[in-house]
Amino acid sequence: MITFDSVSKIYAPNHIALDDLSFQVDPGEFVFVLGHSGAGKTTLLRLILREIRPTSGKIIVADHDLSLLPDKEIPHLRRQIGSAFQDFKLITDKTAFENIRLAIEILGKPKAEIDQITHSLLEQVGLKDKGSLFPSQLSGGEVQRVTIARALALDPVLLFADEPTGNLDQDTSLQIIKLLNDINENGTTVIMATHDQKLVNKFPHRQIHLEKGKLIKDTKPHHPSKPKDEPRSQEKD
Amino acid sequence: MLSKTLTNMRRTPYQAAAAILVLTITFFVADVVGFASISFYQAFKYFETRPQVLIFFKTDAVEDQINAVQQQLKDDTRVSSVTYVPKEQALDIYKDLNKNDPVLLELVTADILPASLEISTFDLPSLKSVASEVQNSPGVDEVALRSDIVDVLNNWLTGIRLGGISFVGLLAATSILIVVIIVGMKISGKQYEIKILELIGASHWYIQGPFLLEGVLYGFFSALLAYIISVTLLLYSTPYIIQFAGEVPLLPTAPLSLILIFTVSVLLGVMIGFSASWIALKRFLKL
Repeated sequence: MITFDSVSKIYAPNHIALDDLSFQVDPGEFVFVLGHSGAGKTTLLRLILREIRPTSGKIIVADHDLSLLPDKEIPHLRRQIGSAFQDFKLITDKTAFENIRLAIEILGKPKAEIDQITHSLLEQVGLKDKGSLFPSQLSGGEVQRVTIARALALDPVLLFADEPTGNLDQDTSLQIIKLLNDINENGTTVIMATHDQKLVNKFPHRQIHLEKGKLIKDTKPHHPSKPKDEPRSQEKD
Repeated sequence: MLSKTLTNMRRTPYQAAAAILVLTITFFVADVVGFASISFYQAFKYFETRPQVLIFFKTDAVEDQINAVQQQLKDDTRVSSVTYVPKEQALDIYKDLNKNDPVLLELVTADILPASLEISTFDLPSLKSVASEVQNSPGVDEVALRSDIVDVLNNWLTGIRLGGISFVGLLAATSILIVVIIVGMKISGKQYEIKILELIGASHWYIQGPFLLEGVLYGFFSALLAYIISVTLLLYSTPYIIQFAGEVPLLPTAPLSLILIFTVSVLLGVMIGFSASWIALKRFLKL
């Protein structure tokens, strides 16, 4: 699904955001990308969305080699990747329903179909009765659910959630991760960037640890129900 | 996309009103210049096809002298038509022109009116040479040229076209700039939304389309509004202008000309709106 091959990203003048990063994510995986602020998690998302280009290295996302992808194909790539952003990126003068609807509208589907999909997404994220509210009228967890619903609107093969639990309490954070887990069980590859080690330890998924742009640890998933899956540690330092 | 664009326009009513108003003024002036050009062109053609030289004979001129001049002109290849107006017919014309003034009619008889020849030439430059050649023929009293009227009309027509086009061009440039600024402001105000649309995979056309359509709609509605206003004024003033112009057919404007001005005006409106939005997109939207 995703291949990073010796990828580095250096912002001018010489701030190294990612340093020789290599990893692979298979279809259907759930991966936590862990790291403190400035570790390179958001840069990872921006590179996957081809919002920025790497300084060096090769990135393949959903069979697209991003260094060879023509600019006109970028919208097509982004429709295959659902993104839930750290700062939500919701339009404040649109309701939750309209924000989700917007993501489906870009495909030019008939209005009735768009509305039906939007209602179903609101129901999936547990906001069935809150579609008419504006982002400012929703709680932090609810806003995050709206961004996840919008990310799912185009039925993506990959969902990247950047710090979706950043400003949420423990219970709400767990609910959000459970929601992402449900989405993953339906076949969507999920990558969740977070700094909260304690939170992700409650889940059995693979963890990629970043520090100052470098991959320092890549652990295999540990399924309690599948004891044969031993945690794999790829200590780099 | 249309409903989205109309919503955008509704949500910024002052900007939309400013754009439509300035474009309407431009198209109103353009329509007036168009109608004036057509009217003056009609007048020009009217005078061009009228007898352009009038040869008045002395009241005591004999028939042989008149016939000789008439024959000389009929044989002249530069002359397209020769019409003889005898004294009696001149009196009829005089009576018709002064039918509302019985005192003038009582004073005039056929004897004191001159017989005349009305001639037209194939082109305007031949007028003066033909006129000077018959000026000294026996029995000829006076030769009147109408080329002056045609020249004046021609100058007016050229003036209206050149002045009108320049003024409309200036207004059009101002309108384009104003629409560029208004659409540019809207793009700037929606940068955040545009960024989100980009990130969720909206195509460039999906993002740019409503802005382009907005400019096109400004141009279309303005051209339509300006046309309705100018045609209403034209129809309202037609009886007065016809009365003022007398026999000169300044108005009414032919239906085909009305359709032509409408079509050109709407097409120009759409083009101006589209161009202005396109410039704004190139200037303010980096995708």
